[in-house]
Amino acid sequence: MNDHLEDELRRALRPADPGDDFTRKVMARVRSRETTAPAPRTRASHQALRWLPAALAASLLMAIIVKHERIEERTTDERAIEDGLRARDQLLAALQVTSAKLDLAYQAVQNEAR
Amino acid sequence: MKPHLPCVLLLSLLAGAALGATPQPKLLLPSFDALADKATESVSITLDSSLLGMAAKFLDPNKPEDAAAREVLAGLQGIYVKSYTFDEDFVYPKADIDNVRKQLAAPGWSRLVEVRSKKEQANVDIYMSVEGEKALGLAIIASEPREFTIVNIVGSVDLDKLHQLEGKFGVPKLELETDAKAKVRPGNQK
Repeated sequence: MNDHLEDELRRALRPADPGDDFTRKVMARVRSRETTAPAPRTRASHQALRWLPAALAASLLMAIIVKHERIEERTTDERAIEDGLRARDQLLAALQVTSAKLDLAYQAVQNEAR
Repeated sequence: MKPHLPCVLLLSLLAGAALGATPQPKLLLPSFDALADKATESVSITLDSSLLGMAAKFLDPNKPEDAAAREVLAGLQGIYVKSYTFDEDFVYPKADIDNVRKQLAAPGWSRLVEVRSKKEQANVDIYMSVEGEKALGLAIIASEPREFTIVNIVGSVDLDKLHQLEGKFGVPKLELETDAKAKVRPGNQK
């Protein structure tokens, strides 16, 4: 009885060849894990990550400064145009008054000459 | 006696100033602040050479009045105008006008035209500052019962070109007298 049981166990637990298919499947699984697994962080990338907030802040600051300068330039240009147009209007008004007063005198001179 | 150096320098400066006194085409116009308060309309224009240059850049050559103004501008260094309109007769102080007239009595200034109109009670004086054959400036003092105007133009002024501006600004020709009662005296050369 005991011998029979022992033989049964030996037959069930005997080493069996899994076949080529099994090896191919295992190797495929290993390869797929290698491609999806995150790359281990290097020292250089750690350094870069540490400077990232500072770089972002600097970029933001630069953008604000450039924008501010552009607004300032536009305001200065607009002011120069306004000043120029005002000067032009004043010039025309001044010449208008001068011309009118000259005409007043010319008319009198012409009337006297008649 | 050894001459005192500072005294000699001072005397030579004064002598130089007196002998070579060049006419001052730019008048010292009073501020007329009191007039501006009384006036119903006041115009005070100060255009020095830099402002004239700026104005010239904004003149549109396609507009006739701008093109005419550009022609007049050549050679000018400044235009100063003070003009006041009132709703009452003769409220402006004569003393201020006399003060300007005194400056025009200085050597170098000549009165070209003096108009005294009894009918319109309008007086117009045109003065020219000339050095040699070169015009250095122009001054106009026009006083009417309810209007008072002083114009001072610094630089080589062309009266004909200035007068030709009339009409280009839409200013109607003003009829001063029709019966030749205006008293027009020739300018007194100094």
